[in-house]
Amino acid sequence: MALSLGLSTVQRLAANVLDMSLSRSLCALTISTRRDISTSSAAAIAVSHPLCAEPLKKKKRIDPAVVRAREERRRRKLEKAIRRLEKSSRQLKPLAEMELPREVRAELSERRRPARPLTTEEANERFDLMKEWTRHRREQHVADVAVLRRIQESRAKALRELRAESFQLYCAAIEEDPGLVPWAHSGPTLTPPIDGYDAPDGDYVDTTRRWE
Amino acid sequence: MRLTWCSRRLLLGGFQFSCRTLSQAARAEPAPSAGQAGPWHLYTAVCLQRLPVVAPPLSEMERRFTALLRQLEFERSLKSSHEIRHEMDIATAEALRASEGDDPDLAEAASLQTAADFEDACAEELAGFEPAPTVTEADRAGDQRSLQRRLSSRLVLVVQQRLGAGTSWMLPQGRHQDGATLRQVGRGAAGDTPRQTAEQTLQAMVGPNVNAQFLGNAPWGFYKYKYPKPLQQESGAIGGKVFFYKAVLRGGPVEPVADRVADHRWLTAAELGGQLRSGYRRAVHRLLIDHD
Repeated sequence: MALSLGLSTVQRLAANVLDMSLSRSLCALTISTRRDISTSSAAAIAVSHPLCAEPLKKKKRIDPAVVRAREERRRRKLEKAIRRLEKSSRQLKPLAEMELPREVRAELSERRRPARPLTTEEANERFDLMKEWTRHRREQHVADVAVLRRIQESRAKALRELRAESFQLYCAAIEEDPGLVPWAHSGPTLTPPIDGYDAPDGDYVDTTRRWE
Repeated sequence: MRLTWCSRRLLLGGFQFSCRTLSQAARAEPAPSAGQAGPWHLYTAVCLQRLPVVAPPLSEMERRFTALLRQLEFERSLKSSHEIRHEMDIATAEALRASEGDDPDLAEAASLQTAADFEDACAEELAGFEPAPTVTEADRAGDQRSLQRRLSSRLVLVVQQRLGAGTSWMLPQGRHQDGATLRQVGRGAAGDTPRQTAEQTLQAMVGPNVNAQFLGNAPWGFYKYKYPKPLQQESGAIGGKVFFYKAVLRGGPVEPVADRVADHRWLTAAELGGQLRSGYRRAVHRLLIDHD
C-alpha cells in the first residue's frame, strides 16, 4: 500500500498503530532505539523517502534432500495420474454386437434350441461338402493369381518396350499418380439401381457408444 | 482371399522384382541401341471399362455351401424374440381353446397381432417392392451398344475407328506426338506424357463429357504392327507401337464422335474375339480380367 506520509501525520499517529505493515509500503520506517533528550513528546520517528521497491526477502537455504524429495513426490503424482488415464485406454471397450443383451441373458434357458443329433450320413455329407468347397476355393484362388500374374507381365512388357523406345517417356510413365490413391468404388449390388427411385422417408440414427 | 505362402511369394516376388528393376532402370539411362531399321510411330490406346453393376448369380457349389452355412448358423443360434413371441402365441391359443373362451385375459391376449400376422404383414410389404431386373432388355435384345447389358460382367469399349480410307475395329487409339526437344522428363512445350495422350485420345473419340478414371501413369499392354508397304514409304516409319492404358468409366455420357468413329460396341472379354483381329485381341486380352 503506497503511503505518502507527511511528517506531521506521523507525529499525530500513535506508535502502536504504525505496525509491521508499514514495512510493506514504499516507505521505510525507522524508529531510533535511543531516546535523545528532546523537548517534544514525539519519539524520534522518521520516514524515509519513497523507496519504490521492497527490500528482497532473505532466501532461506533449503536442504537439497528436501528439494529432491519434493520433486520426487511431484513426479510420482504425475506418473500416477498418467497411469490412471492410460489404464482406461488399455481396457477393452465392450462391443454391443458381440454381447448378448441383458434380457436374452436372463432367459437363456428358454432360448436354447433343442439339440438335434446328426446322423452319420448327414455328418459325412457335411464333411464332404466342406472338403469340396475348400477345393473349389483353392482352384478359384489359383486362377486369380494366374490372372493377376498375366496382367502384371503384360504391364512389365509394356514398360520394357516403352523404355526401349524413349527413356524420357518411360520416366514419365513410372512416376506416381497422386490421383489414384485413395481409390473409392461402390461395389456390385444384388440388384441394379432403379432409375428415379423415390426412397421412403426415414433416417438412420447412430447410437453407438463411444469411449475416449 | 487368403494368400498361401507360396502364392504370396509368387506375387510379392514378382512385385519386388519389377519395383527393383524399375528403380534401377530409372537411375540408368540406356545406351543408344544400334541396328534400329527405322522409326516407329507411337500410339496410345485406351481400354475403357464399365465395371460390374450387379453381383453374378451363385454357382451350384456356392448355393450348396451357402445352404450348409445357413443351416449351421441356425443350429448354433439362440431363439430370437420373434420366435419366442410366436411360441407364446401358440401357447395362448391352446390355452384359450382348452378354457373354451371363458378367460377374458386370454381372449384379449389372443386378439392382439400375433407373430405370424406380423410376419405376413412384413412379407406383403416386401412383395410390394419391385427390384430392378438383373437381366435387362438390352440383354434380351443383344444390343451391344448399350451399357445396360451384362450387368454382372465388365464391358470394354471397342470402336470402329476411321483410319485413312477404311475403318478398323480396335480400342480407341491416338497417335503420340513427341515434342521436338524434351528438356524435362517426358514433358516439354510440345510434348505430352503417354498418359496425357491417352486421355486426349479418349476425349477426342467419345466426347469431352465422359468421366473416366485412368489407372496410373504406366501402360498396361503393348502391341506392335507393321504398316503396309505404301504407307511405310509415305510415312517413313516401319509401323506402329501401341501402348494400352486402362480406364474405368465413372459416369458421364459416351458420345462417339462421328468423324473419328463409325461405330462402337461394349463387349465382354469373351466377346472381343468376335470383333478384333487375333494378334491384337491377344495383346488386349492379356491385360484384362476375364473371369466373367
